[in-house]
Amino acid sequence: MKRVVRIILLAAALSLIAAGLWIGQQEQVFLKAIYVCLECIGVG
Amino acid sequence: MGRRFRSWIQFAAALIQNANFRGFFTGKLYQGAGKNACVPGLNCYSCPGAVASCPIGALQSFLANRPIKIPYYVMGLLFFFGVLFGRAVCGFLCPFGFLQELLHKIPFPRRKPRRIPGDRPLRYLKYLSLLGTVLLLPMLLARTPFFCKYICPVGTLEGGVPLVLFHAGSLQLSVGPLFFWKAFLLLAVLAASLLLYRPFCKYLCPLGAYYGLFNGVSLYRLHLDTKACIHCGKCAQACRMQVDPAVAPGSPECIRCGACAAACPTSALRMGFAPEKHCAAVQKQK
Repeated sequence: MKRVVRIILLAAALSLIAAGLWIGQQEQVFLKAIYVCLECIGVG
Repeated sequence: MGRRFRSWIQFAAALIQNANFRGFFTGKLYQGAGKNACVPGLNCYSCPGAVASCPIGALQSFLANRPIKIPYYVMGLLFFFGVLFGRAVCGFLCPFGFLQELLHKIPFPRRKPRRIPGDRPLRYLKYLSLLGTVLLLPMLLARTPFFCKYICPVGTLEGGVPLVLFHAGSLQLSVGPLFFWKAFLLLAVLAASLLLYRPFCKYLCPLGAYYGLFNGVSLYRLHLDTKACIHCGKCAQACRMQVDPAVAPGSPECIRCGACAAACPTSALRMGFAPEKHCAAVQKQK
């Protein structure tokens, strides 16, 4: 039973990643990460 | 798996995730393709050494922006890491967890307590941290990644300290009460780590809370061979996260450090991607 759950969860994870890549969400992640996030470092 | 071997993996993971060494000297962030992806553990993307993104920071940037977009990509990555590793991410791949462990190894004149008063209820704080500061508050308060802004000690340590202290400029002029609050929190966590084993992971880390939810089903798991277990209690004694693996091998508190499996006199506990097979093979040999 756990094996089936694992396969379903893994498939769901890969589907979500594929959906995100399809609409270009990796670019938003990239743009947020290449500039200093002032809030993150405690000065924003 | 030996404790020393795990330490080497933790060291390598921390190094690889922060391999932009030049950034520490120039104060400039890495801008390569690696930042399209998130690392599994807490590692601030504003660290000059970071070569990939922080999953909690990326998740909050989606939730705090307007209009809110469903973060399929980041959720998928978090889901993927969770199903694959569960909280083994904490035990093997998180640089901040590694730092807390190193601090805990420093000898202390008094005996280090295994747990603090109110330990059990305090463990639920990390779920509040996940639900409240990572998910709900950024959705309610536009443009405020609440956890990163007010709590995350990793951002202060990896981004704030090197950028503000060692690279003079406008950032130094912007330092105010928020920076001192976060510096205080960071120091409190580091000081607590001298006495307690991984206090941030136990009580506050939203990522640990999230990955813990996968511990029961993750591919990398702890398996208890109930036939071989003699209920000696050595595994529970060895566990520094105060889990009893003989009762709950899939406990959300377990970071898969392997101390229980190493302490088991009958090899009833095994950790890995297919631990059942190994246990069956051992029993056959006997």
